[in-house]
Amino acid sequence: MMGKDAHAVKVRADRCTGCTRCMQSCPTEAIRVKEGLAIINAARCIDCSQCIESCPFDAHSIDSGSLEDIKNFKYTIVIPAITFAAQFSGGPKIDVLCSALRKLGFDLVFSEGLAVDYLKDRVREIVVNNQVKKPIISSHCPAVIRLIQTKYSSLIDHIMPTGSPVDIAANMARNLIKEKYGYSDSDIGVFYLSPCPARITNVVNPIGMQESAINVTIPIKDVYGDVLRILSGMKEPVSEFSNCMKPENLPWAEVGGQAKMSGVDNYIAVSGIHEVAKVFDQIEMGELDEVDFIEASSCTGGCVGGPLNIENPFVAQRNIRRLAENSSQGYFQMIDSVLAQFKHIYLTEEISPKQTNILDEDFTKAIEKMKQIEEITSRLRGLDCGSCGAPNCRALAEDIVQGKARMEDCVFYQEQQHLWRLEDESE
Amino acid sequence: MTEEVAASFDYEIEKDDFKIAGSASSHIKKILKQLGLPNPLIRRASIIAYELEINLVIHTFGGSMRLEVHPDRIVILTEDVGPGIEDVDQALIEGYSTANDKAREMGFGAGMGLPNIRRCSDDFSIRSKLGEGTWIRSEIHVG
Ligand code: SF4
Ligand code: SF4
Repeated sequence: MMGKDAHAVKVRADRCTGCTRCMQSCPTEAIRVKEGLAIINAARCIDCSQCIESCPFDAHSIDSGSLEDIKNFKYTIVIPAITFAAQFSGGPKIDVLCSALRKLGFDLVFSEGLAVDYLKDRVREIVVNNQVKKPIISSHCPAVIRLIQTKYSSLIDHIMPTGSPVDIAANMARNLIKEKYGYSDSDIGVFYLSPCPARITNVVNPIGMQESAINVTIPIKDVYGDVLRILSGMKEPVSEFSNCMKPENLPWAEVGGQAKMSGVDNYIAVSGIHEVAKVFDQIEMGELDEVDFIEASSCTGGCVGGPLNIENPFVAQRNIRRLAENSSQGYFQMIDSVLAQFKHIYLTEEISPKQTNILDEDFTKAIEKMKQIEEITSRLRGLDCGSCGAPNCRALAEDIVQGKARMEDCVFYQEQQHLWRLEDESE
Repeated sequence: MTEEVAASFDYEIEKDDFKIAGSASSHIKKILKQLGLPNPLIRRASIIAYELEINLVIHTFGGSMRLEVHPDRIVILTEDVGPGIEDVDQALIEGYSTANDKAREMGFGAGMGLPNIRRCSDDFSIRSKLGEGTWIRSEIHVG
């Protein structure tokens, strides 16, 4: 299993060709290619999945759990991510979908969307009452929070203090079952069907909370086939508590959904980690002080764009619209009374900066290193070709100054040295 | 000041190039972060750099910007090739702007520029000559 500093995304040495594409796409320059293999620097990785998306050889694996883990618990709850229901274009009804999930072996299906009911009002309140520095940045996407931690630490004060729906839902479900059936915490297994590696990492290595209420995360794509097979033999829902999702909360997973559902008007909804970074740059320049709310998602299109989904995000959005329109109400009324008293909506732990780019703790030494970097960069070609195993010439210069690479790693420098040697010999 | 370590960075800024306006100040921000300076200081320096850069794009025929990092201070300097400011004192008053229509439509030039820069600086000086150009020096103390 993963340790405290670990991330869900791993490089598969058997498939990686060292092509450098992932290295060029990583927003935090976390990847270097050494001897034909991509290596991820865990301190810099924010779990944005750009590397997975850009890899032509499918050379990444996800460190996650599986349905096998069900047997380790006395009572199991499954929380399908909001995007789960959007993966089925055939149009199964929500209650049928939830029944299919139960058939995988879970005792209870509890939707991430149920937490949205509680969350959206808090979000509006916090925005309207100016409880946080504006523009307030949504805390929904863990990859975005990690981007702030590593590259935009001045924006930590702008983060919405609420937790994300899945963590709220996991706590709700856990409390519900403890109260209702008297199970102890260790008896209960909370499983999450995740659209992204960011959420998987966040369970083992949580930010903003001491501990995750989730035990096991499984990629949506890993259960998709099983669910599809179950669905093909099922027309009607099979259990009394089968309607666990509120279809009208599904749009939370698409870009702009959080702002619209919370009733915030003056917002920017940005998606795609590189675009998010550009907006954060603008906030830091003081350009967006007049904006109330920034809904930022690492994945293009919002969570429907998560790499562990099956369906194309644009088709998924249409599926969400269809489900929301045909919403069959009457979901899960029995838990309303428990939920009404539910209070665990806020992040409990401080989010601390994680500046991995600082050249030196000592300011004078840092200036000295900066000068060396400039000097080396000016001697490099500036092609950012990546052949050296660093994402661009400046990054190589930084690595050289930090003792992690050598001038000889640059192919042009080697060539030049070679030419000089030949000249010397011919003289 | 002879023996001290200092790093400097130079940027050329073109008139009316709104598309890349902000890239010099982004670079400056990135450098200050790598140097490990405290956030509030970086924030001030970024705002100064950005306002200065936008000023060059909107109000001048182009010019240059320079960042100097010394152990005890950050200095940002700009120099342009005209047209110069007619009344410097007035330009330092909040709300006063000479931004042209094109700039206003893009949302720039609300007249916050110079007063904002002065407010964020620990030390600020400006010199301008009509028909020649403007020199601005903004300094932030470190530590
Ligand atoms: S998940 Fe994102 S941050 Fe991590 S290595 Fe891949 S591209 Fe870089
Ligand atoms: S946008 Fe959603 S799916 Fe993508 S990384 Fe963030 S939380 Fe995960």
